[in-house]
Amino acid sequence: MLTTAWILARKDLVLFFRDRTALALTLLLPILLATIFGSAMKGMSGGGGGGIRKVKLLVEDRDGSQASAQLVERLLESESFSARAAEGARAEVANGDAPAALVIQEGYGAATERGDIPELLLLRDPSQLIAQQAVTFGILPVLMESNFDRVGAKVMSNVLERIEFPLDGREEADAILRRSWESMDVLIARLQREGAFEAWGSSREDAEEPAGEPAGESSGADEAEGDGGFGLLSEIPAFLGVEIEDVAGARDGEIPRSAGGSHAIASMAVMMLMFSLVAAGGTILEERDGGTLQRLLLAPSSGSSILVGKLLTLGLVGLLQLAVLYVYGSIVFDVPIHRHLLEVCLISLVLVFSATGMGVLFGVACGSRKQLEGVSTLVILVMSAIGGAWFPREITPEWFQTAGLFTITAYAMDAFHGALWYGKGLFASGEMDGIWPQIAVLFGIGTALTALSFRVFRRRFVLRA
Amino acid sequence: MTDPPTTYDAPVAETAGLVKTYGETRAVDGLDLEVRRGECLGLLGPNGAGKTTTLRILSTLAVPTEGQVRVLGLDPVREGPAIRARLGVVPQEVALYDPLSAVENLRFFGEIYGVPSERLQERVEWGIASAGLAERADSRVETYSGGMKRRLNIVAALLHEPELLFLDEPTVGIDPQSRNHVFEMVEKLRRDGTTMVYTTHQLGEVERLCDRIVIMDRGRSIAMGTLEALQQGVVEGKGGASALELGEGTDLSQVVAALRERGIDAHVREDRPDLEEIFLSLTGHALRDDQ
Repeated sequence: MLTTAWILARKDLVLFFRDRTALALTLLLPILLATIFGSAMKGMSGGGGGGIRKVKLLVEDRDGSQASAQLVERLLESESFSARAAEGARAEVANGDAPAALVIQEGYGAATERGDIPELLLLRDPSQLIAQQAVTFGILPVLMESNFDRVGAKVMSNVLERIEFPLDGREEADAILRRSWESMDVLIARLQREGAFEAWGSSREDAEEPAGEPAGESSGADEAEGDGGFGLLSEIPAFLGVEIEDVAGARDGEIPRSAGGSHAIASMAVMMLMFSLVAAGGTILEERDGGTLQRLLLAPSSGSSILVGKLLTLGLVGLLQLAVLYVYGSIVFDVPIHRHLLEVCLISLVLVFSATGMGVLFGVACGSRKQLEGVSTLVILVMSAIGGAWFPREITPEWFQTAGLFTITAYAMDAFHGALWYGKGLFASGEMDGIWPQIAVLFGIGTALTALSFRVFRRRFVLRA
Repeated sequence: MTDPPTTYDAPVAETAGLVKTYGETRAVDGLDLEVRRGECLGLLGPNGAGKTTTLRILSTLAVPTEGQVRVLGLDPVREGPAIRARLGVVPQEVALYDPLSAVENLRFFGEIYGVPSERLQERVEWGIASAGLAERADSRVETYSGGMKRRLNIVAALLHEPELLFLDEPTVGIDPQSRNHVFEMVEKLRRDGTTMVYTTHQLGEVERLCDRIVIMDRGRSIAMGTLEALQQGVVEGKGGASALELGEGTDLSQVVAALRERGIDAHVREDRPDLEEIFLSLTGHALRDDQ
């Protein structure tokens, strides 16, 4: 029996190694996806490497004091994120231009002088969960470095209050803290010189991230509460006087919307649409192999009309698939599709158009169904990864985001996200951008892919010169 | 449907010096061919002889590299749609949609081949009856036997009543009953005046169905004519044999007896090779694995 089994296995191995598509999928795809995931995760964790994308932070100084100017300067110089001074920070966050903005409130300088905890407002975009959390914990070391020596005792006093230290001992505890803080001042000054707070911020962030649950998978309830799933650690900003406000989509002001649901529906819409339309595009190969394509080519008005027919079929199938997904997303995840019906319809049309063009192109360009399945799986998975269907593009390295610009996925995700989360219309309105650029790009991609499909089809199938 | 032309007596299809190359390979190499109105022309040749390429060019699916081609008096390169409207092709493979029924398949191909809507139902019914599929007309094709599929495959090419029909090995892999049914269909078409080009490796089919035969090899026509003419050509080609022409009503046995009386070794021998002998004689016995 073993001999027979080995003979069979040997035959299957020979067949496997002769199938280049299967070989590439087995060996190349895991490497490729691991590379993509690895790069993205490095970006999320803020790990080293020159290609890591720094998370954007806007800084708005409403105080204009020397102390606030110093804080702005420290933030701009920080290695933790890419900070930029801004006037209308709230609008920019609401528009999705940055995941967070730190507003230095009036009276910051005076409060610092008094040894009081100054007021800061951190505006966050709840849909960019990972990025805004990175910002939240990235600013802590900067704040401590700026004024912890002056407000540290007050901060610690607030901590006592927060942990409900017994009132009877509160006064004595405060006194102890004040005395010990004088010693701490010396220590903090030394640590500041050594840059230890920067490292402390990073290490705390890593240590506090819940094991086995990536930050991006926090529940909707967490998002609603704005703590992002970080538990007590999330209260540290409050001890430092940082009030956190989640800024939702601005147009209809609904707070909170289901960013997770919107993302899930959008990403599945884009990825599965491409898979199903490429599979449907493969019917061209089935027709060729089954002989029906030749029969169609022999019809009087054949040629390009065959491809137009395929495009029509794929387009209708794609729209049906999206419609079912939208209905499900609206009911189950409360994705506000009905409130942005025009935008969603337009996105869907151009997305289906571009995905149809891609599906048909695969169908006419590949030599066999097997080749189509292998190549399309590779392309669609990579496009989904770098285009933002699996994780937000803003947390990935620069090269990663640049590569994403060559995918249908990126534009479709941006358009869906713009409409469903930020409530953007087709055209710019107020301080909100419009989503027409993404729609135009998708239409352009669809046009290019369709034109290329016709060219390849005519060359390969219609007339063989 | 386009009305049949009435103004020319030229061959229904003809090629002169037809050449088709694929890279370095000359699939068709200076072919001169003529398909006459109303005839069934058998196109024979070993694998790689250029039959399929020739049919592809005649049916507007391939562009010739050199030479002249006319089909139904038209240029296949520039007037493809007009030719295809009057042309039927029965492909070698069963080119049907398995998940559809026979009626659905015929309706689809009728529409795509331009059968007027008012005639479509009639033509579909004709197709079902001609293929002998009345009892299974609404069953999915995937449930059919090989013979049923083959018969349906043929009638699908006839719905638009083509003037010229190419049949590419239409009886591959079917049982004798279905093959006989196909023969009867072809014979009926021939009686109705449809011009046909019939390619097959079953030489008996050609003997039964075809008026003239063209044998191709290495992209060229190496023999053309009626079966009798080809038989004669091969006998002549063999050498050493003598033919004696006898007047009408002459008793052959008396002639033989008279010759023998004069000491001549004479006897009667039927020396008419079958088509297979002719074919092998012309194309050789070496294996041809080229496609």
